[in-house]
Amino acid sequence: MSRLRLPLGVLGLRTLPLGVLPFLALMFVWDLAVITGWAPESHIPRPWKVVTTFFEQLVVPFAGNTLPLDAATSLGRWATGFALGALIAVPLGLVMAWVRPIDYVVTPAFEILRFIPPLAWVPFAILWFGIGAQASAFVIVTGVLPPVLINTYFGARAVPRAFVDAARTLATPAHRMFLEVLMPAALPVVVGGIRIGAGLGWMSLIGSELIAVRSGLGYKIVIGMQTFRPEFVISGMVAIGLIGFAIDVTTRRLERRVLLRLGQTA
Amino acid sequence: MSSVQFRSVVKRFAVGDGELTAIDGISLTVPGDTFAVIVGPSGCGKSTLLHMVAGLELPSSGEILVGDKRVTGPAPDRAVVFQKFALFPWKTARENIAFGLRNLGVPPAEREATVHHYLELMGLEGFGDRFPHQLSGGMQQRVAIARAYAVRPRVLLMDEPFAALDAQLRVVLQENLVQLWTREGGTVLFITHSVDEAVYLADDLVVMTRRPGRIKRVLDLREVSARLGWRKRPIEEVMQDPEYLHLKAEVWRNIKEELAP
Repeated sequence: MSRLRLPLGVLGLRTLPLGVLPFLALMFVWDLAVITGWAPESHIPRPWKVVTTFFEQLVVPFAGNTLPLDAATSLGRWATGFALGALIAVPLGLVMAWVRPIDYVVTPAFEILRFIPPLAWVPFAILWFGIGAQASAFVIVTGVLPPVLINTYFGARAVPRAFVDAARTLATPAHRMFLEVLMPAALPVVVGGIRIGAGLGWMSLIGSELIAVRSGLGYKIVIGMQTFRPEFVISGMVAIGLIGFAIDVTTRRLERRVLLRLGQTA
Repeated sequence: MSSVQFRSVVKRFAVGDGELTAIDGISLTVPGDTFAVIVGPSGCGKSTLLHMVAGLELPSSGEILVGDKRVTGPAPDRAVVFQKFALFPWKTARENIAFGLRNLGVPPAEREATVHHYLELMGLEGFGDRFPHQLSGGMQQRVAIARAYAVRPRVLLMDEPFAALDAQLRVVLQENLVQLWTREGGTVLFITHSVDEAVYLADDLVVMTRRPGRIKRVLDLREVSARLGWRKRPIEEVMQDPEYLHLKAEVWRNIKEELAP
């Protein structure tokens, strides 16, 4: 019963997900608040204005670029930072889990560093890399790294002993133990971390764009604020939410496929 | 096939500040080509004993010899069938069975032939390309047995292999195992806490005391098993046999004496 039957043939939809209803309710209450003057229009625009602004921006530039262009810029930064963060975090997590001395040296420092939010790294990002893509990539890495590293570490440590024992009794050489036993056994948890890291990376990217760069969705929001155009701020926020959602759906799909390939039911 | 000798084997584990003696001086010889079953109350150290033969644990003192070679670590001449199967979930049945053979550098053609042989023998034709989670518990355990047998171990170690299966399936697999063993031979060390299973399967039935584990007695069932043709008859028939029931009762008495009040 999660779908509502409505005459939606015009839109090419046979059913409408029930989840849309709260959105419509929110829009209604929001509009009501503005019309009645409870929330002045200088502070919050009417919903339709946001909608039209959103679609207008698909072709008309604001703060230098159109919305798709800024979204592409942001996504590109995110992809760089995310790939970089994952490429550092996965090997580091495995080494921390399986090499005792490194575990002793690195883990305590990491336990403290991981609580520093990505935004707190922005000043250093600017100081070290200047304003630009490198700085924002660095900030994204600080967001991606902790969840991926933590999951990799615990996934690698929690490999069931039975698998290792079975492999040991079957004369498994070291490289095969690593590639065909330890890695696939740890992978489901690692991939879970990668999914969380992808989302957190996206969120920290926007934080970095508020300060460290001159383009992208975050920058659009800043300009919207500075020019007192809240409809641009909100349409930027909507774009961020939609893309974040798309990232999560994609990585979730990927996770399920990996789990299936590893013979585990998701 | 190789004999297994336990020479004054002791195993202690560190527990908190103290020590726990799991195995307290076991000396025993299992001759080659014997199906030896070790039965005992829970926690008597029988699994520890098996893990020591596998080389996954080492004795605190004493030694274990397989053939004339002292056990110093795991090796495929002592393949193990684990209680929870321990199949690699990311490998198909075929890949699981072939895994040890690949490690040993068996050429692909020969590997394929061996895998095919055991799939057929275990009644798994047509299931070779399934992943473990696509197989029933009984089939999974058959794959695990095939994986262990495929590397041609000198001794096959089975650690309560049927404990995780339901009673009906267990009976089928016991029969299956007897057929396999009759055909393939070898020395088998089989751990169980099921007296039914022990009496049906054993040439040598070793009864252990409660912890710290020692040997309470060893029964030689070769004569009775051969005379009554247990291994050639269906298990439900054997389980009605008066001599089988008598032996079972006797082993039960021995174990009951060891159960904590």
